[in-house]
Amino acid sequence: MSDTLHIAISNEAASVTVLQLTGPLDANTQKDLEEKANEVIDGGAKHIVLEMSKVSYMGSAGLRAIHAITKKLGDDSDNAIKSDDLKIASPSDEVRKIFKTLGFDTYIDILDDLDSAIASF
Amino acid sequence: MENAPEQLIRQAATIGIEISLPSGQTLFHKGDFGDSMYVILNGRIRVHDGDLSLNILSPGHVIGEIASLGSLKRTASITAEDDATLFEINCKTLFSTLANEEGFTKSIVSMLCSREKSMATKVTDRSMRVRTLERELEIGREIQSHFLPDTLPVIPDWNLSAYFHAAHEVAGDFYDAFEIKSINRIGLVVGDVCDKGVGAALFMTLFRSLIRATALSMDFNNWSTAPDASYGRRRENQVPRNRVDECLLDSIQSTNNYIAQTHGGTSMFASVFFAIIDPYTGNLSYINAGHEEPVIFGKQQIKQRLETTGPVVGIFPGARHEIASTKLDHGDSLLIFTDGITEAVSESGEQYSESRLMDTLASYCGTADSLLDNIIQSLNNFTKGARQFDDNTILAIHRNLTH
Repeated sequence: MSDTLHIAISNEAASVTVLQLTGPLDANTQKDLEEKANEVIDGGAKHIVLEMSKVSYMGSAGLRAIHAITKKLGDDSDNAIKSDDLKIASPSDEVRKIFKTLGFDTYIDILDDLDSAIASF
Repeated sequence: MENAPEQLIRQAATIGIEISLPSGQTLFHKGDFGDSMYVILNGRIRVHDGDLSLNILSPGHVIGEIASLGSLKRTASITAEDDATLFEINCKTLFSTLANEEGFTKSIVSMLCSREKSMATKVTDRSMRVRTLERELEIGREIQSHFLPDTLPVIPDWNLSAYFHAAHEVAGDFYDAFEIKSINRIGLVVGDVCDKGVGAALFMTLFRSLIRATALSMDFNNWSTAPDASYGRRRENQVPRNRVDECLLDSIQSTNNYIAQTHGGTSMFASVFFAIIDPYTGNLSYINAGHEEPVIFGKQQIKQRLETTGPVVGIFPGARHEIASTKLDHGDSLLIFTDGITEAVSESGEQYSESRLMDTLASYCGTADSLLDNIIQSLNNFTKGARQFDDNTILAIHRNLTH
């Protein structure tokens, strides 16, 4: 199993940037995701979809990175509401279970496929 | 790499050949054999081990002399940072020259000696720095241990036991158990701060302290008048349930909101299970904030898993947590643990897993102390000393069969 996270960037719709992740999202790769997301946000991205079908493992460090991206996108109001600017697409059952157990599914939309994630903004 | 004296370069010029190394090109890799050493004439040269850069060398430096003179493997890789020109000296040519040229031999020996001296100084400096850091971590570990309870509450008809084993010097896990005299109850907490190392350890102290301080705020406010807990003797439970709920909710929510608002920028969070038990009735109310599901078992069977009732603590301001209730009958035990237990790996990389833990529990009946011994033994038999990646924490409470 590879221990690096590959991140492919594409603009699937006018205002949506898709980061397709391949590999583990853990303490070793957390910074890679944050840095790549910061780059696209600094480059003007307003809406981001994380396509996670090829994420082999997600640890709590991965969730930190995802939270940091929502903050960077500006979802930092004082009340916990769903992120308008970041969506998760097609995670594996295991990854989806982690989102659910840690309660992230209440604050971030998790969609079954990329198209519905892009259409959900 | 030592800067070669001018005399050495001048002498080397008579026995070597000039080669060019375009920017980005690697001259040799770590582990290669090679019988040439090089003097940099132009450009900058990067010394590296894979992706890790060790040094950038400028003209005048000698490289590759350890492997070539000592017939050893290359100790690092060498790649041109800019278009560079090097002077290559083959060691066979060199040794035959050394035999005849006393001055050249002296230059080489003196270069190697001064290089060894500078390496020795670096090694000493580094070991001193490492020792200072180790001492600091040891102090950190010692101080952090005081953020775990020194002793567990002693309650008639109940038995409490805890196991805590950090993967590193400092930990991100924590557990707590305390009497809440203002409501005549026992509070049990297990938490797991995301991430590892010193950052997680700092937040562990914050989470633990905020939860405990909020849960005990009524006790602190009425220091002199707090009723003495008299669990076994009290026939009627005078404390309304909403005060128990209030204590659970206040502790989790104010901790959540404080950390989310004050430290939100760090995206640090913890999964927390917080239960309040009435030792007289066995009633148990809890909030499970994104934590591994604790388990109630008794009569050699798993009775219930305590599912999450809200998100993790510390990153979602205003997050809502529900309170759930259940009961521990006589003979029942509650086991609260962190994922370090279920995700502990054997030498072959297999995880201990929930199912192994559940099997161990289902085949067991007895006190919390011996239960923990059983689990630890089963876990150690499985991991057989394989490297521990995450902190291991278990808190167990058992209600005696007879009363």
